[in-house]
Amino acid sequence: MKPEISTLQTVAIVINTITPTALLSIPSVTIGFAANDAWISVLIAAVAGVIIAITIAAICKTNPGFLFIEWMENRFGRIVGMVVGLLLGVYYFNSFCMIVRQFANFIADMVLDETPIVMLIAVMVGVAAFSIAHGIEAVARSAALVMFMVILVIPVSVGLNFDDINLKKLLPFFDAGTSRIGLAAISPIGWLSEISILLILQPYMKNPKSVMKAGIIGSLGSAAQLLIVTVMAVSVFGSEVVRMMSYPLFNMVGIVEVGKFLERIEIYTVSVWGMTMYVKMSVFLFASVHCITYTFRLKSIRHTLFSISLLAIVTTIVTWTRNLELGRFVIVDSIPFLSMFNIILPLCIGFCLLVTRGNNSKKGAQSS
Amino acid sequence: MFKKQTAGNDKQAGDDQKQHVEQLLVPDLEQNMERLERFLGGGADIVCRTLTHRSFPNQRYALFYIDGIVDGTAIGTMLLGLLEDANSQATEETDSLYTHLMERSIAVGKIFPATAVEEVGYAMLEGSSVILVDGSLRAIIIDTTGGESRSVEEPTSQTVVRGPKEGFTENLRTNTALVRRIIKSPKLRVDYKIVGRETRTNIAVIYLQGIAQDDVVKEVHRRIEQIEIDAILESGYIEEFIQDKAFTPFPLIQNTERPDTACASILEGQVVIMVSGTPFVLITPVTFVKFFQSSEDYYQRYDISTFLRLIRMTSFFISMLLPSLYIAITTFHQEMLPTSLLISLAAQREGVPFPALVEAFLMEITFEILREAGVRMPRIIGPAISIVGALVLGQAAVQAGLVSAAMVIVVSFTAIASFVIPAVNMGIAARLIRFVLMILAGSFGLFGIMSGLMVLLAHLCGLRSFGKPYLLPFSPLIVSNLKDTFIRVPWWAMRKRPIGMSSHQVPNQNRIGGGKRPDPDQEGA
Amino acid sequence: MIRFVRGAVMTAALLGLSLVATGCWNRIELNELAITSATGIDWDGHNWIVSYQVLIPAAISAGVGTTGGGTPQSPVIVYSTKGKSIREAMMHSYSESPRKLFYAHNRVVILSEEVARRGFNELLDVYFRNSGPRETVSMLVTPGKARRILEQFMQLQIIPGEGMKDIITSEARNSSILPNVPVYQMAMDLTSDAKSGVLPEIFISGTEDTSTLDAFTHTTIPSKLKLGRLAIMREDHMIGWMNRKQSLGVSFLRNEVKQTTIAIPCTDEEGHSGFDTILIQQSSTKLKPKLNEGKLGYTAEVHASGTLSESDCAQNLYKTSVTQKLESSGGQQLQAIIDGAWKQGQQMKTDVFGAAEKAHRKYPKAWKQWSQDWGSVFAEAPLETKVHLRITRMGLSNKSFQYLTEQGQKKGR
Repeated sequence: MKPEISTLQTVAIVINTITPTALLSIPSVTIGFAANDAWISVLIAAVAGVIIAITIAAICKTNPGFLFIEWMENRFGRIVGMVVGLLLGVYYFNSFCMIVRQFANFIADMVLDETPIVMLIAVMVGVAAFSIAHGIEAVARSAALVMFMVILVIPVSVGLNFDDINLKKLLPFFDAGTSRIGLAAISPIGWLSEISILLILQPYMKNPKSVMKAGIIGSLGSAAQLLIVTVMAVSVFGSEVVRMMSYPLFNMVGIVEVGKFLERIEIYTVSVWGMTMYVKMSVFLFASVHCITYTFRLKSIRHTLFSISLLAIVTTIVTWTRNLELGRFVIVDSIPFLSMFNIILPLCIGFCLLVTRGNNSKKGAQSS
Repeated sequence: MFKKQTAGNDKQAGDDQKQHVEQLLVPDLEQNMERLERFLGGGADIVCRTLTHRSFPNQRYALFYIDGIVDGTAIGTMLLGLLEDANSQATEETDSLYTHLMERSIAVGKIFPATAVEEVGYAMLEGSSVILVDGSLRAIIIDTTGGESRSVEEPTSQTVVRGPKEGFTENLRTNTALVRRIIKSPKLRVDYKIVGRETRTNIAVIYLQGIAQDDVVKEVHRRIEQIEIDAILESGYIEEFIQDKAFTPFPLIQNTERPDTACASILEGQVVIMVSGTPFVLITPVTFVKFFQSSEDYYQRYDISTFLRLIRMTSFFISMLLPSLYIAITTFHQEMLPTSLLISLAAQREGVPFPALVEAFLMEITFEILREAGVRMPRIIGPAISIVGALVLGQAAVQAGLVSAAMVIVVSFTAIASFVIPAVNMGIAARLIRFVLMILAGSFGLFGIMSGLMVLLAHLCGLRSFGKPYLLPFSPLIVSNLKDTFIRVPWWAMRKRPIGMSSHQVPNQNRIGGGKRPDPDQEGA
Repeated sequence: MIRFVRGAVMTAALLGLSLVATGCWNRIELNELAITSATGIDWDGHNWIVSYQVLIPAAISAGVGTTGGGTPQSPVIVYSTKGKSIREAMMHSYSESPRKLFYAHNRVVILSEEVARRGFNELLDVYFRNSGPRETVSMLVTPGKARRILEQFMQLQIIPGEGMKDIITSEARNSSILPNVPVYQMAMDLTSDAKSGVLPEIFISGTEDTSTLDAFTHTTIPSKLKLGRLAIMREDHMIGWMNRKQSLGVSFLRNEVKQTTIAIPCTDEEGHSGFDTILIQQSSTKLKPKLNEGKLGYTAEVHASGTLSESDCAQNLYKTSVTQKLESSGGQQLQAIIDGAWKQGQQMKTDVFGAAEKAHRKYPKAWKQWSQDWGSVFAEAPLETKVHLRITRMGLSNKSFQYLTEQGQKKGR
């Protein structure tokens, strides 16, 4: 039976794919560049994100219902299909490793600093692989449930911080200067471009026509989350202190004190956020396994999954020996990396599709 | 019933045929009797009574049955009728003794002919009586199934404050009757099957035609037919064979002792499987939330039902998570505790030799032992267990310096919470998961618990019960089904059957007619 | 079937592995923790001296002084370590403490005046870099050695650290003279446009120490921990004190007044003079910058309302003229308090009122220039104060007791 993902679940996957890692780095990066105007940058990024989403969805819509790699092969031939599949497979694999490492670093920074990071990584990859073993459908369903949890948690954390929120700290507008605001928007745009995962998900949708809707809602939802967190970070801490915080989101929850019994509740936020992180890891692992399996026409997805997971554990441990390197990588180097695979590659595909459209319709006419 | 059963017999017999040729009845009574005795292997409980008829002095006939599994009264009445008939003169039209007996003299409702020795023998094993007639190729099988069985009593495992007090029994016929008595609909289908080479256990598959989904019914039949086993002693055997996934702690098939619960499920489009010899019937397909619903929820007011369901759900999470959370917080995240609580916990732990994880394991296993002892031991020595139990799991253990007082409270509360879940098999799932989460909490703190829960979530999302997603109304989300999950809206607001479980045909979806709720004002005027 | 077995084996192996693996890493049992309730930071000219007030849980939960009827045991113990940096000093604690120091329940951090004047950026860094200590810890300054503060017992509260936090929060809520300044607040203040902040002072009133349990055998303890003046910080180091009256003015200007009490002198017709006391229960201050011929100035508009909680003068409070007079003289008093604080701030060239932020928001362009030398710009800025005090309630009596007795005397004549 072909797995089927509903539109809501697609939205959930998109949101859970974009936000978890973005929430960690976006506030400090955007506020670092644009100070109290960071929210304007996020808004700009949101607009750009929606445009990207529309583009990707438009490309998706031309897919007559094949799996992504199969579709590429059908349209452009085996070699192009292989190249695209391999590129994407490697990209998703790399991103997966990066995310795992980021999550592991975070957990180590926050709580488990003495636990060997190998164990943390192994647990994380294991959980992601376990989810994937149940199929993309199970991942989509858990994504939807996790999204509901996040929707429940956001108002609570805003409410708990209510006393500390001072919206006046957002004033004056456009203080940082247009160029800095623009610069700050690049990083969120990079994250929002991860919506290109739709290319791979779309064939699995129950109603592939609604991919446009899912894409737009998904990118808007993600941008809204980023916006809320950025605005809160500025309005609670002001733009200066945030710069020295690695994880402003959790510092924010950390200062909540309700009476004498409810303090240090950031660990709950971390838990819910961790769930979204797991969804994200699952999606990326799925994408990389999917690409590699279909590119090389491997028979057993399970075995591919197993070997890729093992490889990921090793890569993650060996590649970044120091947390600092990863931090720099995530903030600076990942942007061209992200935009390369999430914007330029889909654009090329779209362009090629446009060019070859005439050919294909002829072919289609012949075959039918 | 017996018609189907014979079909089953034929199938079974067909299988046997491969080994030896089916023995047909011969005209000679003595030979038939001997072969039948040989087939059944003799025994003191096989009763044989030979009779002669006044009109057919040359032909004898014999009544066979197995004592104890037949209905004594029915046998008595029948014998009385036969004897009376034997002494009276048959009318002239009667051409043979067989036809005469068949048509005129047996005072029992259901009789039918049989031609093979095995067929006759299996019928007797079911509790039927058999009349073998000299000179006839056919035997008469008379349904006299009966014998001692438990009467309908109040169910012991699922008790309610308000609601019917009937429970299913071990007798399949009684059980189907209990259902028939509640749902008097011509659409109610009761399909019979026989499973088990040696036990030849009767199984009934009950559903409402047009409301249950056809493919689900077909799938249930297919899976039951595929079972090849020597014995079915309880519905648990069937459950393990037909559930979608073996490697899961969660029950994928619900069981109940209560006819009202079974009927409610049938009315929602589920399929009920009854197994002879057990009061526990199976309900499938089933979703996760079903295990937190009690039949009483629908008899009490909706507000209190909603509250109770939330309490049950909370209890489930408490019984699954509390010990692991305690371990995680006291050994990894002490900052989360309020200072005064931290101090008193720390003070209690002074002098406790074991780490919190070991302490928790010790206490949890102690409790599991106590619980098992409570179930297994004879009723008479019951109080002894509670006295000793209070010692090992209480103040004495604390005073001995083995465990801290807080741990005793955690374990006891966990235990109480686990009893709240109405479905025992879901409670068991929580019990097993609890230990796994405790280990995770002991090694990774809350991160471990979170990872464990994520695995659990993915697992639950991947589960299916007869093709239906296990987390149905939540994921995939069906908003209208949420009315009867953790909350229960008033009856008049549940206009439709749960979507996804029952048949898609629109007229069958509606439960409540257009008028919805009688308007009190208009009634009063 | 094979998959089932394989799955079962895998799970069992993983669980077994975690069972073996557990018992190391980050796990720490409650009885391996030394819970600190207060930290003191001193500076001896070359080294940091960090002092910890460590709780003894058994002694606390058994109640002060009695453990099993034996000898009385102190609920806390104080010790200090020395190091080139704060964290190094903390590390040295391992060589003398049987348990690991645990900072998450630390309630207050006491800086000696020496440290405050030297600067304490290192401390803020420690708090933000490490996940153990929380940023909600209250900061206090003491004129002497910080360690001495930690050594004091406190009335009513068994845990002195917790008690100090209680004093400062209750003070901030009920009399609003000194603010409760958590670490994150301090960091925000010091990085804000004005680059200055305030810290409350804690000191020992009385001559002796209350550092033994023997002190509690008497109804009067020889000394108490008390909150005093307001320390003014500029760019991470302390530059001076403000007295309690000025401190209240700072609270008004920072709009941090939740509830406070002011006493207003009054005289009645008989020439009898006394004080009317007003409990201000609600107050909001709007500090607005304005440009006057290119020069920056401020207006502070205070809207306060309160209850008359005590009246010494013989007044008939039914008369609106009486209440109006009361309100206007109260307003004048508040105005004087606020102006006094502003003057003091200008004298110190330190803007602890958040005036810089306001100017930045309203005049972002001009701010670029002002920010070069904000201290002098601020010192020149005049403040115009408008106070609207409303007495909304009289309490449970409408006439002062004085009034009643005087009326009685008149009748008697």
